[in-house]
Amino acid sequence: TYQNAQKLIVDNKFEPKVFSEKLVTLLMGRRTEPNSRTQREVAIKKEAWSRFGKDVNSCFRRAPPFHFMLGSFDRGPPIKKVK
Amino acid sequence: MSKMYTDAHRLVVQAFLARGVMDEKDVKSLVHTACERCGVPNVGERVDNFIHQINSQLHKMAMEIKKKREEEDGAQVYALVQTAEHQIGKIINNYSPKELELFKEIVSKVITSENGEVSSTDCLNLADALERRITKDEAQNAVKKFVEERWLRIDEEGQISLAARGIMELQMFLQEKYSDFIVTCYLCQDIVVKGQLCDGCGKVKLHNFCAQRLFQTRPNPKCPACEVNWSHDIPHLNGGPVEE
Amino acid sequence: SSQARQAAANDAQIMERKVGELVQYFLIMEQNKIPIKRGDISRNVLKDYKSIFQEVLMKAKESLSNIFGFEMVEVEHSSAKTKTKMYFLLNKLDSELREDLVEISSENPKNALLWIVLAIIFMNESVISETQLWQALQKLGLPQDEKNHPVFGDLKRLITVEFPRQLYLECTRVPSTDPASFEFRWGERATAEVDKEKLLHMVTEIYGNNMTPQSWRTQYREVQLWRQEKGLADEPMEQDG
Ligand SMILES: [Zn+2]
Ligand SMILES: [Zn+2]
Repeated sequence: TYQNAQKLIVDNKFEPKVFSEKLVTLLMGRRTEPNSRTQREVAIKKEAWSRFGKDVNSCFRRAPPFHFMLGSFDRGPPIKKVK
Repeated sequence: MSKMYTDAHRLVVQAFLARGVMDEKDVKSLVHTACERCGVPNVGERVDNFIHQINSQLHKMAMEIKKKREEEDGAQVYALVQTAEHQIGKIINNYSPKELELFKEIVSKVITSENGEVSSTDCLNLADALERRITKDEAQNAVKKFVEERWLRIDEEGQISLAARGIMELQMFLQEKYSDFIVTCYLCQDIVVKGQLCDGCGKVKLHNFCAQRLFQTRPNPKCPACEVNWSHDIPHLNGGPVEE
Repeated sequence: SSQARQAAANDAQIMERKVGELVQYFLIMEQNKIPIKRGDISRNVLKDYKSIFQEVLMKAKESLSNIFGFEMVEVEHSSAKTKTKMYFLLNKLDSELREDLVEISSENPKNALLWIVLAIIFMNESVISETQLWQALQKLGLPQDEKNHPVFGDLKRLITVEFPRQLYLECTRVPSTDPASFEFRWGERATAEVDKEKLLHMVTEIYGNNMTPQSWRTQYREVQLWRQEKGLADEPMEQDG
């Protein structure tokens, strides 16, 4: 039927490299011609990684850890005031 | 588990885990947003009551959300602190043993110093005296991290002192290891590391913001204990409390 | 007798202290997301009170959930010949509640990379060869031999050591391959933690040109399965004809 045929066209085959190119465009913020950019040229800035990390946070269920100082080093003997 | 302990409380605890320390206005907006998102009747100004409800659950875990004013400008700060020294603490930490040793030495120098502060050059010079050698760069990065995470504070002249978070967290350690040096403030009874000490009796010590409050109406302030003229200049901090 | 009462009180006090220590142990270990093994709990927390292991674990699980809103997850991780029980924490509060309030911004860059690797594996029908993964990462400016990337440092160590150690990824050797070749799958923590539906939606958005999640047929079916496992109501499936 028409609908099955239409389904076939839309049914995608996932290509990791194509996905990466889409990500580069997203993270570098402008259209990049696939072959013009050599591997070395792609340098995604930390801010872009950070922003994207914030956007994908909702996919995770991370538990924030406990950071502390007390008890993380040996106390050593009491220090007396030299009279 | 009292029914008053809701997802809003869990959200606030999680925010404190994630950030460790917060200024008062951030705590107020955090509690406000948490209550709103969880459909819990808003506590309005009763933030401390809300924090108390959390602490009643946390104390079993040797954890507590404490409140203290920064010694320099009196700004109110809240921090989630460890209240017990057990060896799990030595198992993992986001600081390396070298960094922790440096931190310990800096705390020691600050506590035993004349006026509760140490120059950043002195801190970096500590790097050479450590058991575990640490380079000046590593020491510089470590100090930067301690200041960023608000264990320590650095002022415009580069003087390093203990921040409110550091004092709250290390209170037990300081009181027991440095009992000769640790004094409580005459006015607010809280620990005071950097403050004004009476040069008459050498007993009365005041936070800057407490000196401001105690002497603000007195033209020539005297030590409340030994009546000797108070020689320190009385600061005019906007951060400090007008009335408590 | 008073000794019995004293002993009982003493036991209760030890129990409460050990539960508190175990809760802290979990909260601390989440700093580097390394799962806790049963042996770690006995050695580092219970020490000479191993007989009350189960009760302390149960009470700690309860406190982590009631006080902090965290779920203690137990998984059986099999590596080489051994099967070890491991524990880690997941957040029970919805991401909508946690947004902007519970966030460690310094972790965001690594989260981004982790999400990308998990998305690539999921979209590649849940398994990918190491070579194919590195080819995809290469195009993101993340070459396999990069030892000190300005944001991620040693990339090979991060992808093949750290993420697997956190049980986010599973790196297995393909049998009877010489030289040895490896495959990546989701680890136990990713399977327990990651919202596959949101992930598929985000991937679809990244592809843009008004693609819908349904157009990735196998992956969409995988999301439906995942929803059922999570006990979520079936999404109204468009008429599939
Ligand atoms: Zn005071
Ligand atoms: Zn005096």
